[in-house]
Amino acid sequence: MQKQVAFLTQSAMMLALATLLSFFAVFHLPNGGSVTLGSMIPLLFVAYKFDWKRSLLVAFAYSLIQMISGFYAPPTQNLLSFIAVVLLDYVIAFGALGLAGLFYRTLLKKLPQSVSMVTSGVMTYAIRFICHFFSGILIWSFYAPAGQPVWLYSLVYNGSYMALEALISAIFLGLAGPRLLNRFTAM
Amino acid sequence: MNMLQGVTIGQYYPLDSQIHKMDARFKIGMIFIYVIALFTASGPFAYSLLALFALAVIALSKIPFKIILKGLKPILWIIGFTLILHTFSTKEGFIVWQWSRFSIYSGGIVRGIMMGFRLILLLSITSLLTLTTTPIDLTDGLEVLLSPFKKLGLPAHELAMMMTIALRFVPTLIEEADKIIKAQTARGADFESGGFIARAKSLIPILVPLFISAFRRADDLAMAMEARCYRGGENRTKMKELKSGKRDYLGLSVMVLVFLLMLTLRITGFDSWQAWL
Repeated sequence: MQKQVAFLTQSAMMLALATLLSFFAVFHLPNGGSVTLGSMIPLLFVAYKFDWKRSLLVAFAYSLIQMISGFYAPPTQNLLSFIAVVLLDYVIAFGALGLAGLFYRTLLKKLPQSVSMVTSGVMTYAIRFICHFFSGILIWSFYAPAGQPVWLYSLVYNGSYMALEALISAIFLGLAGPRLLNRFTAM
Repeated sequence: MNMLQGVTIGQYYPLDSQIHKMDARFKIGMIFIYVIALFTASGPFAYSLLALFALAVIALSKIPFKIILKGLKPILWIIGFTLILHTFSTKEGFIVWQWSRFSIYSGGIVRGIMMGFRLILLLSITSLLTLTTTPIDLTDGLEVLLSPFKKLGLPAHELAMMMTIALRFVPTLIEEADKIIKAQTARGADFESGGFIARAKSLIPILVPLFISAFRRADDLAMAMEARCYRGGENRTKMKELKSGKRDYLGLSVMVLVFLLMLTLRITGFDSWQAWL
């Protein structure tokens, strides 16, 4: 089978699965962000199977799907931070998936497969968290009353849902990840 | 488990209106210009004009006003917060009200209302795009708008193809997930008790078959595409081409004019909010 077509359909199906899982929100936070049932897992699978360039493309496609299925305009004070927040929250945050594959393949040389999958997954979540953390600072620096540390607010707000999501994904990746991934890479 | 019923991708609100019929490429372009114009706007006159423009577009789209308002609900308190903060932090104009250390200046009120309005317009106009355009049309529009980046190595066609397939298969996978949930419930699976970890674990019997079925579908689809000689983006035609007409050019021209007006108002300082005090 032609490799390019297989890549297209496989990543498209993983995108569909990620979009579907993002609907299963356990709860929504008031200012954007929600705990979903591991909606990043299918994208992690793509990152583990394909090279970083292709994973980046899939990650970009996912951020576009997120945008066209309900764009949440960030309440910023000027155009520059508006663009920065959109890029951070939508594009760069998921761009972390390009790195997930690199982490995974590096870790795999020394660690068992399940541990590498969980660790690189959690690292990807951590990078995504850093993106949301900075965008939070950009938005909220205006609102936080003087003397109140904005970074603490952003840390708690974004950390709370990202940690829960990372935990759900880690449990799934640890228990069912390797067998599913081997099946996926064998395709 | 009814969490999967009535799930739709996106917020598309099907109606027959001039805005719905517009070309997605033009709509995306217009939103970009509108957002920039919104941040360029300098005073009450500019904001009123942009608000009028937004109202006219909403009226043309025939989307019930209720739906737009519903979209604003989540940021209601941010809007309120913006209003209050700007009102108290601006110290220009004359004092309207004073109580011990707190004072409200006329400039603060003007600025607070302006900033609140900006957020309202920003959210309602961006949600109008997804309300009046189907995700598939938006994807087609994005493919065209992103194609200049092909030179930089961005495979715009593959990107759009992937998104189209994904959007097409979300409802199929939803049905699949529904079946799997029912099948596992029939076998006695319990998704609603136990602590956080137990619940996360209980997802495995749903997610694993769902993944496997998605893998299988990917395989079938690849085979079907191969059999029909799919060879990527070069010279490929579309079943539904995006068509632009008078309506689209008119809309875009009005939008550009509004933006130029905002720019002029800002540069000349004629409409700066301080001038209104």
